[in-house]
Amino acid sequence: MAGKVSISAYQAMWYQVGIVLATAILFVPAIVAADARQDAWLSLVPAYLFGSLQVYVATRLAQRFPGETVVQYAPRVAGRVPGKLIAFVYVFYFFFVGYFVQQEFAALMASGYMPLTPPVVFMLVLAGLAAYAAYGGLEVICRVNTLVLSVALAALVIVFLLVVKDIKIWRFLPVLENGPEPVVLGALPPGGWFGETAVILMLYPFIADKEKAVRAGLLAVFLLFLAMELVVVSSLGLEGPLEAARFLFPTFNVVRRIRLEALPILERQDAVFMMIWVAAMMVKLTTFFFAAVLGLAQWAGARDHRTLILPAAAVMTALAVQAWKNIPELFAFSSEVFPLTIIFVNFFCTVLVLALAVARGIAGSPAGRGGERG
Amino acid sequence: MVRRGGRPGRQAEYEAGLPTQAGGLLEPSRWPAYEKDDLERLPIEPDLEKNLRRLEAIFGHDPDFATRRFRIGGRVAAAALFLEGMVERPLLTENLLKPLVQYRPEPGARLTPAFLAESVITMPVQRKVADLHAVCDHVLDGCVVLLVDGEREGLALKAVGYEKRSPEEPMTEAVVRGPREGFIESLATSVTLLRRRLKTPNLVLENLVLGRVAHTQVVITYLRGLAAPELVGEVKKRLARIDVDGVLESNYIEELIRDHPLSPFPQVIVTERPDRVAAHLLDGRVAILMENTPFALVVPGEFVAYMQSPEDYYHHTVLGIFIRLLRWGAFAISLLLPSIYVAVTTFHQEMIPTRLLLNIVGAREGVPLPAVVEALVMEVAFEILREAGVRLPRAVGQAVSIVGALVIGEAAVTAGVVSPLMVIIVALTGIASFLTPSFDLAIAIRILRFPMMLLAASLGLFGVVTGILAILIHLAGLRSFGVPYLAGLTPFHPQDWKDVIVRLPMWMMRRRPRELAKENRERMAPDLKPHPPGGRGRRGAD
Amino acid sequence: MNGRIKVKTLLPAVLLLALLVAGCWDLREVEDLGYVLATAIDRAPGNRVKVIVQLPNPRVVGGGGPRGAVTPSASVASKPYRNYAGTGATMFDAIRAISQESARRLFFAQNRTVIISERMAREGLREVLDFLSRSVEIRRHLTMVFVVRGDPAQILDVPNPHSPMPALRIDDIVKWRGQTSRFAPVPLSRFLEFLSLEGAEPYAGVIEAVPNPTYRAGQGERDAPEPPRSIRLRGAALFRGDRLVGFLNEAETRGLLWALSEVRGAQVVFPLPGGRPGEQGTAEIQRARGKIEPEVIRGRIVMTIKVFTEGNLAEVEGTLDLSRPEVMEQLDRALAAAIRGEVLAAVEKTQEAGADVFGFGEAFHRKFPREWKRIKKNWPELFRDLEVRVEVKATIRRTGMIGKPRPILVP
Repeated sequence: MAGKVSISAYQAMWYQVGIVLATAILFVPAIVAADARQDAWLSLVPAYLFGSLQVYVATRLAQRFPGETVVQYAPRVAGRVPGKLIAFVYVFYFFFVGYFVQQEFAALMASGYMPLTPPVVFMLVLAGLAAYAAYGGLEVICRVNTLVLSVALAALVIVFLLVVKDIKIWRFLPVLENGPEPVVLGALPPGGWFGETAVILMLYPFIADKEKAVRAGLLAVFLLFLAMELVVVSSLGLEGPLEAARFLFPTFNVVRRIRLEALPILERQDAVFMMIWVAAMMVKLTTFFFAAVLGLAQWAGARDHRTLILPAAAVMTALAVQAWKNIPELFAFSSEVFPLTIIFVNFFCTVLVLALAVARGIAGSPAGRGGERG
Repeated sequence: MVRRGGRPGRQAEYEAGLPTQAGGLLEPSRWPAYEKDDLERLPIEPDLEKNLRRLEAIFGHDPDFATRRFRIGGRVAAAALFLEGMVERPLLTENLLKPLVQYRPEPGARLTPAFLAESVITMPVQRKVADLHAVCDHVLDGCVVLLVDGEREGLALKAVGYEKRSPEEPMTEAVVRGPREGFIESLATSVTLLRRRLKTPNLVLENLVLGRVAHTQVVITYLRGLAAPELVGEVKKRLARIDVDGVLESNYIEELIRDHPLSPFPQVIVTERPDRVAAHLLDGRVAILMENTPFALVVPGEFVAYMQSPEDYYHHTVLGIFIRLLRWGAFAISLLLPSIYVAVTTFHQEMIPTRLLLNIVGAREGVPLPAVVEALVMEVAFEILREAGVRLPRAVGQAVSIVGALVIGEAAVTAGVVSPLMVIIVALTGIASFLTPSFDLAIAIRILRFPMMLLAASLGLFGVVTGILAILIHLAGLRSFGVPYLAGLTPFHPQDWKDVIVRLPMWMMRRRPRELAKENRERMAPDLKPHPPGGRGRRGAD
Repeated sequence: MNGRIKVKTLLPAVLLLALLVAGCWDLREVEDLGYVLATAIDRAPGNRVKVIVQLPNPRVVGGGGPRGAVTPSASVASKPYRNYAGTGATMFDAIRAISQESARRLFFAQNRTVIISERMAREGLREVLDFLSRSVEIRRHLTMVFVVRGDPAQILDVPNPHSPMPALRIDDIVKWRGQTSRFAPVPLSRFLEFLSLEGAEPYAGVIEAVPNPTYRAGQGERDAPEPPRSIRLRGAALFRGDRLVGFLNEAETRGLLWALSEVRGAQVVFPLPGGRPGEQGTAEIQRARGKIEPEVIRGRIVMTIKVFTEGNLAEVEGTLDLSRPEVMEQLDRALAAAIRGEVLAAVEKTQEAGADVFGFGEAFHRKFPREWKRIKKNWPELFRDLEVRVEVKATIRRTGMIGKPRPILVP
């Protein structure tokens, strides 16, 4: 009775919001504040515009080939060998984000909550959940995401409401003290993060109401922008840009500094926030892991991606374990290298494929070859 | 034990009458089992005595098997076969025996069963029977079978009249306000209860017999035009697959038609309330009723359905909203409270307000068990008490649970084996699990509580959230008869949430659940919100 | 298919067991931790750090458990708290040294009070502050920083039946700071933020153990004696960078808090207008807001502190006719003058100490970012000679349950 796996455009939108938000809220406020100081909240505006552009380009490209993923049509667009290469860049990129997420996750868990537990445990547990969800396929991931993200966004708003009394406007002054350059510079990392919505390239074949995809994508970036503003504004407004930039995990600090003399039971409840965040991280990892496994299966021409799930999870975890040896390295990576890497894949590769496809007049048939079972 | 295809030579055994061996009758337990195929091959012979001999061979010395011989109009030999306890005697005498015996047929007229049924017998006729299998079948089903000498057909006459209890208030689904009758073990009565609630020819009842040996009547029922034909087809397909010897309770069926047999979560709604079944049918679901049990099955059963109680709709909407919210909270408590307690006290001590923390520490000082062991022990003890309370005779059961809980709890605390807070936690968890309207869902939660506690003990709140996510992923992957298990919760459709987290006023729930009634979703006329005459909200012509 | 089902069902079970057997790395039973509720930091000889922590005795302060065993004698077992001290080369070193004596692992997440000795503060807090902000357990926004005048060990050992633990008592006193606003408790996060700003300096609360006037020596044959000392919060400590450079007295502290908008309530005594000398009124402040407005007037930087406040009349000596609106206006002005006096005193004292705890520089920075870049190097000097104007607008809203004061007839 179960029909072909399909998700609605709005599920896809929630999905894009969920996967970006999970890691973006962890690092972005500190990274942006490092460059843009008290204007970090302004930095999000160019980042938002850039993110919209990226998701627009990606969705347009996906719409040219409605029934296929980028891994499937890249070889046709760019020629066999270069196309396979581009496809592999995408697949590897998904893996890469996957183990980056695992490492980031373990970093916070180990430094914030459970210092004695070996970090590999966190990675394994998260990878196990991701593999379990990947067996269920896209529909399962989407359903879980909807629930998790609604809770996460609600938590974000509640936290904001709890700290809003301590937010001081003067911490945002003076505006544009050092001119617009730092603001633009600070926009780069969040812009990169917004671009992660380009994962739509792998999900598009499964979307049922494809005509709404562009609008949903743009809406996703807008929602993200709002959520990020909430985080950045509370982070800056509570601690000031100098202190916010000093924190490794400024969002967590916002939760940690909830202070309510009338209701002290709400103080120090950051572990609850941690739980919600773990759920969001799981969704993010699952998404990229699923995209990677699906892409790998398509790239290698395997019939069923499910057989690849367990080995891929093992490889990803192994990569994550050896990737960064300490927090400063990870932090430097995520502020300097990571945004550029993902912008390269999400934006330049996508533009390249789209440009080639337009120039050579290649498009997929409206029906496409049909998405494989997800 | 039941083989297909009869054995050769069996007929001879039936011919010979009761099985014998040298020296007398064979022990009944040593008689060969009769098989459908064998019996179907034995037609009703014109020789009445031969038929009776054969049937005697089949039913043997069963004390309740009655053969009433008589002559129609004093001339033609006939016999009425029935089971003593299964038929209504006055009906039998008044409407069958009396008319037949008093009937004066034209001399020489043939007394065909068709003729008798039309002109003599004043009893509802079930059908004509032509072979011994059909005879047995109807006799066992509570019919009277009339055999007439010289005819190759008999008549099965419906005269069911066995002992049954009258519909009472269901014990498992008590309500404060609402109908007080529940299904009973008699299928006919149960069906009537349902018919009375949905008086439409579109209420379809499809009959089915399950169980090779037990031959249990099962009825598939749905509303034509509301239930999706694919769903009905799927239900029939799955029921047709069932080939077991006996179906004694609806769980036999449930376990054989579930989508995910090993999942602890219920996938079929079980209820003994006709009003609840009617409400589900109106949603576009399919119900399966069965004789010999008051519990009906309803499919598909998605998660949300287990959180809804019929009573939600029988009270004021404000109470409905409140009770629903309370229920979701209690659901979370019954799944998570012990594990969260363990996680917070052993991993995240910073989360507890200082003075409460000092209280907990003061109470825990001197308790020798680690918190998780303490929790596990107490939870197991609670489960034992609960189970004992159910199994023991009703009067004793209550005493045992109360005395057990009080005495054990109090003694354990005084002895310093467990901390008082843990007793509160366990008791609260146990009580909260009774707020889940579905017993099946409550069972799933009770069981899942234990792995959750272990996760909490090894990884703290991270472990708890891991468990929650695993359950969530599991639930998201489930389907019940094609309907996603989390339908109504996710993907997010505000329309459907009106009856999920809360229970909004009737006039706001205009549509049926989207996954069930795919086409026909309008439940009521628009704009049913009541307006007092002359009130502010009064509208013009509509 | 069969094989997959087995793997699917067995795998989680096996993993769960593995976790349990190998796991529980971070598990700490709740009673095995020593919850530090106050931390005192002092300088030990040889440039070492001495840390005193206060741990509760849960058997006494916590409820539950078998009661009745503890008799209210002065035995060690019935004392509601226990203070441990440790010294080390660094803060963390000193804390870990305590664990050589303590049966409980120290846990700092519940700590709300950090007390720094005057000597330590005068020498600089760099290392202390780094530890406090780096630690996961310490909640920077929930921890209040105090400078102690006198022996920090003494502060943490002042008995009292209300809030028997000194640590919690300090917390409770802070909770009622709106009664007087004569002391300036400051969260660690705020202290650190002001430390990192270029145009502002941090301040901290001051804490003292003072003799208890209700204590009488020799009392106590029949009843337990009154405690000989009390904990008292008073005034503020001024910092320049991480070094303590001076103190504000109670009135001056309130002057500072008016400007920083930190007054939640106060009692302000002011001379009655038109009354005989010595006749005073007292206002109960209920709301107060302050702001600092920098201006450049003829090339000179002028700071204006504006305070808006309103409250009730709590007490009036003399025979003013409060039913007359013009009398109320006079009272408003007298109250404003009293507040202005407090603010000006605070400004003067901070300028003397050279500690810009008002954040004048930061206020200037925000309004004139370009000029600030030019002058920020000279700010310490500019600050000392800064012209500060104070404008106070006070409104007395209500006069309590009676209007006119009762005339006292002297026979």
